[in-house]
Amino acid sequence: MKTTNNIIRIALISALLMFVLFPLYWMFVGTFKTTGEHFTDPPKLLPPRISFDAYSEGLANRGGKGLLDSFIIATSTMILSVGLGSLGAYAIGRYKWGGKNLIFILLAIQMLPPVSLALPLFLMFNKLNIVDTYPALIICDTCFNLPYAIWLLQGFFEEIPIEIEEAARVDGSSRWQIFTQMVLPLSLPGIIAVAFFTFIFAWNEFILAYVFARTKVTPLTVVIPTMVNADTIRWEQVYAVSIIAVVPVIILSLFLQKYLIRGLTFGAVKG
Amino acid sequence: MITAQANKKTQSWYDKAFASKLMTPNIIVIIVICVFPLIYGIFLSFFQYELALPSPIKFVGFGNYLKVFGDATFWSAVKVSFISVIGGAALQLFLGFGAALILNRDFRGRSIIVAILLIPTTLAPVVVGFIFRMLLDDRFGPVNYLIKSIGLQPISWWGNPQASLPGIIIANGWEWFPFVMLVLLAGLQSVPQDLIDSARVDGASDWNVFWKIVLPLLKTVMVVVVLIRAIEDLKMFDIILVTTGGGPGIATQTMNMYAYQKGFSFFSIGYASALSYVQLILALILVRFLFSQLSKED
Repeated sequence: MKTTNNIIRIALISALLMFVLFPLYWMFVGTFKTTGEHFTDPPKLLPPRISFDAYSEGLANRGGKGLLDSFIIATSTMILSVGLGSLGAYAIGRYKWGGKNLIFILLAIQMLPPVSLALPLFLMFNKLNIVDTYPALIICDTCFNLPYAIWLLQGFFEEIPIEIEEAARVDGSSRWQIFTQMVLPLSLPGIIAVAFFTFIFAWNEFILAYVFARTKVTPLTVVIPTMVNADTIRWEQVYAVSIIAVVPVIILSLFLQKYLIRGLTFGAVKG
Repeated sequence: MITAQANKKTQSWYDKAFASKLMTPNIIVIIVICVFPLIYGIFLSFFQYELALPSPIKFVGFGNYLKVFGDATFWSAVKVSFISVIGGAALQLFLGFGAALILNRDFRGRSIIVAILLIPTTLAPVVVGFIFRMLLDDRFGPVNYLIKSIGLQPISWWGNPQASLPGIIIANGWEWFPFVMLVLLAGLQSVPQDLIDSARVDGASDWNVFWKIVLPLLKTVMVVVVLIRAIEDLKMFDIILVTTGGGPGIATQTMNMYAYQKGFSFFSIGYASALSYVQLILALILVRFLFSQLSKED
């Protein structure tokens, strides 16, 4: 009975892993094909050759620029969201600034249809002449990220026992010192989790980038679809640039798995 | 609770001033990039504003909103949006719950398996869309090859209006079921073991333990996770744009896609604004409904 159960379990886990890994494998194999080899019946499930030409071509064909732009936008968004978010989260989490409703208003921002903000922002940025610049995308991504960052961070700040902070007050530390020298270091795991999340969000963000990016600033999520809109789709390049886009995130998430899990489950369990 | 009360006691005008100082940069950012554009957007929705045409901007009151309610394409988009949200929730809950139950046992290599299963959730949806566009290709995709090899009719995923929405739901479900799995796994682990043990002592079968104890305790977590997924799936855009672009015809055009198209392809600024606010109201109704399910449990 026990062994049958185990066999069933192993079979189910294998099926699950296959289901998750096969699409990734398919993309990876695709980078080794020539343009015609993507359209064969039966499909080629094994790499016809091992050649990294598609990667170097993809990088040269705007993929390299995309990688740089994605990195600049995601890093800046991360720094801004965590920096601003931790200030706000401390005010809300510890001092109950704005009362209970504020946090729900912040979450309501999360529900806004992207077009409802993208459209007026587009008109504003157009007037200010900052469409197709880094600030346009960084500002937008930060705005969509900030409520989430505040929400997550205030939960982490609340977990710090207030007695420690009160003791530090008695010892003569200023409120600002308590915040920067105690609260922030103590909630480092939470801050890493939130930093990681805001980075991924901005790295993967598409609709805003699609609206605000033109030719000067082109993050990877915009580069990849434009490669598909070309006359002949070079799927091997599309997949090579896609791999370049997802590998940094996958590596980060494997290293920061603990924080990824915390960030993903925290909202749901706390909420 | 105790900390909240202690907190209240130590709160003085000085605290509030300090907290306000901390909040100021956030408030400025949110007002400038969120609140102001929103108000501007609502303002725009009362005008006939065709950016691509030379016609002048004209105040039309609720005209755009009335037009939305008479717009058959909009109602089709509402239907598509709700089917994708409900179908997506069902698929993600089914796969996520199944995976959570399989993994809710300590064994060697479990954390590695969880790490691997979480990979899809970290990918850019654009990339997921392009993977599935080829995976589900009519003639050359491996999925149809598999379907053919077991003797069934291949499915024209992106060409058939009946199949394209399921195709999108599958791609999106592949990306997000691990999130549902992770949350439910956390929920399963919070079910007190002694409760299960004592039920077993009283002679309850595994089946009964699951239906009568585990499932009721998980209901809140399940509603919350469906709520989060519904809010996110209602905003789904990337995968649809890169697989079907809303087609064939308007078979996969969600409210989001429709508002985007009106705003950024046709530059009907006023009408697109109105569309996006009607979408917001429908989203609020959906969330309200799910929240009422949540409080019913308490």
